[in-house]
Amino acid sequence: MEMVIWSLMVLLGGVGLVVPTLDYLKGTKVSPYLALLATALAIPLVGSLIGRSGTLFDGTIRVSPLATYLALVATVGAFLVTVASMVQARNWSTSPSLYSLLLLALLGVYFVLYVNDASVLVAAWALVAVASYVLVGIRKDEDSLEATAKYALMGVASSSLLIFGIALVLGVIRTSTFQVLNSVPLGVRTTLLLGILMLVAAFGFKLGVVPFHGWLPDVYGGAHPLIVSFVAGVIKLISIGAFLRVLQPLIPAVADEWFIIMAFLSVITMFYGNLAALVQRNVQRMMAYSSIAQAGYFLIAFAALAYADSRSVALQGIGLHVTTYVLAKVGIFVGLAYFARKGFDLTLEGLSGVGRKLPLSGTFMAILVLSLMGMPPLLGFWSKFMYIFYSVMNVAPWLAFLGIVNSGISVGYYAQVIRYLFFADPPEREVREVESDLEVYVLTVTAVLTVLLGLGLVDALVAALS
Amino acid sequence: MEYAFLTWQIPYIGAILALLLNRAGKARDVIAMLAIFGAAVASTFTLQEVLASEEAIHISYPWIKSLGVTFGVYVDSLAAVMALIVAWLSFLIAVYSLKYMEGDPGLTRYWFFFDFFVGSMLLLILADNLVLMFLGWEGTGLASYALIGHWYTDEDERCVGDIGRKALGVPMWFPPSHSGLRAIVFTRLGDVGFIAGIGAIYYFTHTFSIPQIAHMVGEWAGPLAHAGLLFPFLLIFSLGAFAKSAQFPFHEWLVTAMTGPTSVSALIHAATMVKAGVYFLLRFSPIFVLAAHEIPAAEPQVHAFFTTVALIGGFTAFFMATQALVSRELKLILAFSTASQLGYMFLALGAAGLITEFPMGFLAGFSHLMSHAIFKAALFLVAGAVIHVVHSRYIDDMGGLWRAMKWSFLAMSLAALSLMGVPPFMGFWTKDTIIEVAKESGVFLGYLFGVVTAGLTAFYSTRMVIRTFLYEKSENVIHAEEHHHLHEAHPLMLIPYLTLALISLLVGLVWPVYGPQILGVMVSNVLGIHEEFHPHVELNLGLLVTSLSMVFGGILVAVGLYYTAGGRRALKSMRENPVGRALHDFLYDRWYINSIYYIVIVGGFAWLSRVIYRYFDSLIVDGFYHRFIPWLTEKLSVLGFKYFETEVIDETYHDRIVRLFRAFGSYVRRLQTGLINQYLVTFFIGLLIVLFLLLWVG
Amino acid sequence: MEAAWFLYVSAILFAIGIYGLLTRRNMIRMLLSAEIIFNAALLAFLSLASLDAGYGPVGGAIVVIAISLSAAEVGVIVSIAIMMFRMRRALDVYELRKFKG
Repeated sequence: MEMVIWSLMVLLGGVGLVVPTLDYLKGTKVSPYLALLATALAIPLVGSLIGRSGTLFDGTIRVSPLATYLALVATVGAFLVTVASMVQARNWSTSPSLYSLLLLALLGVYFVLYVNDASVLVAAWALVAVASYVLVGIRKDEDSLEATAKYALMGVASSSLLIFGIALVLGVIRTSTFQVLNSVPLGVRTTLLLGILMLVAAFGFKLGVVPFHGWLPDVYGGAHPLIVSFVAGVIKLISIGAFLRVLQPLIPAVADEWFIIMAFLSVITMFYGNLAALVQRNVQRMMAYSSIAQAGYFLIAFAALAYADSRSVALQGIGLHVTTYVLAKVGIFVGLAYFARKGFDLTLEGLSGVGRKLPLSGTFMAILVLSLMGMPPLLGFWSKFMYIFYSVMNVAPWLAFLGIVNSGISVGYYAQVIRYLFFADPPEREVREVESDLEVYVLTVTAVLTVLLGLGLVDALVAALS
Repeated sequence: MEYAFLTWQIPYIGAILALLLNRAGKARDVIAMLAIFGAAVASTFTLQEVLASEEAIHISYPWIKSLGVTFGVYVDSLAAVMALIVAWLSFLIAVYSLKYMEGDPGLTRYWFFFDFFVGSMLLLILADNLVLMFLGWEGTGLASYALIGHWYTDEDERCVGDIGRKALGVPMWFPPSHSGLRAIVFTRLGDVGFIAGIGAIYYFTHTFSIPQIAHMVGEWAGPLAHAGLLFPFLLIFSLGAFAKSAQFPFHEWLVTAMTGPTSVSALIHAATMVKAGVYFLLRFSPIFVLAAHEIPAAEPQVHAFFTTVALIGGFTAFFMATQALVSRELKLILAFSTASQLGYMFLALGAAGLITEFPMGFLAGFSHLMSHAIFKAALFLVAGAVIHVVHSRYIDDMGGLWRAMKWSFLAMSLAALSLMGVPPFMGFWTKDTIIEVAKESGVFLGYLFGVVTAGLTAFYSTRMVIRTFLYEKSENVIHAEEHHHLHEAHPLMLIPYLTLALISLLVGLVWPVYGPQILGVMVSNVLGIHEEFHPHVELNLGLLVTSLSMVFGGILVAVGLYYTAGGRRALKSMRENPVGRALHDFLYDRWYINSIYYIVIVGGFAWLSRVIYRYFDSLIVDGFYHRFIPWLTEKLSVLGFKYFETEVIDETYHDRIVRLFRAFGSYVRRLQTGLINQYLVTFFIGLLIVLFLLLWVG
Repeated sequence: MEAAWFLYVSAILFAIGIYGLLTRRNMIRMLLSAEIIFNAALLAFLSLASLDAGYGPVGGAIVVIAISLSAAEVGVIVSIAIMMFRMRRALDVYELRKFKG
């Protein structure tokens, strides 16, 4: 297994570092192909770790099936974004850096997912965080300036909290390796809680948990949709990975408090995200708020991690919902980037009748939106209703109920998107899908996977998770 | 043979074929129609199979093993008969659509969703577990959304309601795309309850299988009943049914759903969608009754539930019928009438749970569903043909059409007589049983509503027939006549509705003889009904006199108003009288319920966000930026840090923040100010709040 | 008890940093405030790590890694500031409010 990790480091790190040098110095245009190759090769490499577990590198890295699964989802997401970028970013002056950052960030995501030691966490977190600030600002226009400034300034505050949190937590557990903590002496309990809270803020910042969400609508809603598809679809996995790897072992010692924090945050996050999305007219921004709402659903599952009898369902739910989420967000934002490239404005009115002009991508987009909405039998229905909400049924049925109510609210805006895509008059100009539109393939893959996984492969996924 | 699977799968296949044959024109339409025919044939075989075997057919395959979700069908006599009605009616409507929708630009979409709709409905009927049923349930919702909004270009003539009319300041006309949205939002509201109920049942029984749930009734109803939660649980679980079947207070979506093509209205009202809610109750009320029998603690709560159902049903019946009295749009009258008739069915099922012979009430609801499906489909199809001919949806633009459209007139009269409940039509027998059951149940208010509504129904049905086909010709009709536009409907359209109208009469004629047999088939092996029940058709003389006098009273009043000089004078004076005017507006604007919804919900939302904003504004902006920071800075500067902070107490700085906050549009959105500093304030204050929460609970 | 004093200092630095971060509107000043918070965190880390035999050496290593994290972040934010100054001739973050609501 060490070999696999080494290969990934060489592959992604190596290509990632070489790409810009080569292209900027020699003036070649090989970076997209190299990046595509690297992400494509990473899929089987990560895949070879499926079902394996063990610690590597003197216990700093720990491989487990769930982490491998998340890593695989991230890799697929990154691959799809790379495919879409071949068309989207073709004419960007900064495109070699884009590919370099994609690969390096992906490598950082792996390390966060597999992290087992505080030093690796800090290093990997730094890699991903810094790469994502630059990615958001890579277009160097006014919009990305605003987005990246907000992202980076808030990010600095959150990484300080990360250091604070790690300091406090390590001070209690007295080792830098994350391991299961069943109880703590009463004297340091408050210290541990404070540390956990700071880590929740730091990780929740990336996930878009209210009240740490301020940057998210402006970044997801303002940056270039292609970049957002990567930031929302792939980079967000680090916070889920960090929750699972860093915080989950500490939960047994503070189960009740953990549940209260998570339940509280999930309720305000869901309501904030869904209510704010309701009033949006810009679809990209609406989807940004929908990301916040989805973060709230994840928090429900995190809350369910507090107790032993709900933990296994919650873990499966997180794994499944990550799949739903990554497929949907990568697909939707790539789709929005595609519509924008075809000259559509990304407001609801601007997208009027897109589904009629671009039938394939419109339909797939609708499928992905329906999956987020939780329409059976798409994947989102199973992951959201049957796993995430069900996981807290034992411990707090009211939380599951609030979740269901929220997904009821969310219909209000998801239905709006579909309504404008299909039930509105398209503009009078000539727009067609052509074979060289790589974004359509990305949409196809994500939508078809969403349907197929929903139609019966859920079982296979659950098997891969446990 | 697994006909039951085929029954719901064939329409789905038809839907896919319709998509694939996008450019095939007529062939696509015919194939899509034939798919429905295939489903109808398969449903017939399914029924035969069920009747041949003593027991219900239950075939299931594992699907999602980790959750125990199966992929299967459960066909008892309820499901089989229901599927038969739905499939054959849909077939007739499909035949009608072939002609009616001819030349529409969105035909592929139409046929795709049409077949998808029928397939989903059949799936929800035949599914053996709640998840699969929910799948079909959501499928019907999605398809109805698409079909109601079919004419999404929102031309005025496609709208429902009078353009420009407002009630309490809220617009009362609805373009198709808006109506579609209303349909999905209103019904999804109820689905929240449905899915919460599924979750709760799964939590107790660890199964989604419907027969298992009936079998293990004690395991889920028991704990709920002992906790006193069974009554709210049943209400929440049935919320989806109330919303789907447009019962008060969820009725609004059905009214505006009239923006779809008329064939779609017929489909929604007669065969699919709204019947799903009634089917839900038919499927689960025997199980609820079982719970009351098995668990003593559950009995009062189940009773309370059924009483609620009966009252809501009765009230909806009455409430919607009153609105039909004054409506000017032909399809709208029919829509009100559907919701009203659905109210009857809910009344029957609610009453069924309260009487000793549950199957009797069950059959009353079920048979009325059947007869309503038949006559309402006929009425809608006629309405479609008429609207097509006169190019107007208002009855003011009709009148005197009977000479030009004799067969249509015949069909509508027959169907309307059935709707009114005039003997010996089918509607008479089924409605009469409902009123009888309602009387027996002891829910007097429900019974009263039932009887009064019978009179109202007779009145508005008669008025509808008179204003459409008889009475004096309107200018519009005269104009059409001069240009030779008036003509009988095309046979492809005419035959379906004429058939339905005749069925409604013929079945009614033979009902005293064959009725018990038909009812016997329907109740022969229904899940959850264990006791032997031998249905019989008999007439309770006292009741008969009451209901018939109401019916004929209604007819006479209508005829009198339109055909006697005194009646016309009365009509005229009623229109001019301020009280009459107010009453008319009250009914015409649907008891202002729609306006109240918009004012309370939409306005309430704005109010809430305003309140949130106000606190946000006064606490964070005022408190933090205007009080706390200046105060802090002042203190700090007193301490000698003045040179450190020179620009904090800066008037323009504060003014600007305040202006900035005030300038933002929507109130909720003010939370997202665009200012990094404010995001950070939220960040850290949020952190503090969570910390205090922790310290407080810890 | 020496470590406790360092923790107090760290808390004071933290408060100063947050105050600055919330009230300043110049991007560079915000960055400096954020750096103060960051250094408060590092100070806390080192003092907790040296509290007694626990994760002392590892703690030191982590702090070194964290300093490189902060260096990278400073680099990015400074380049963002340069980009902003080029475009707007100003570093006022209040100018960045096209996205809102």
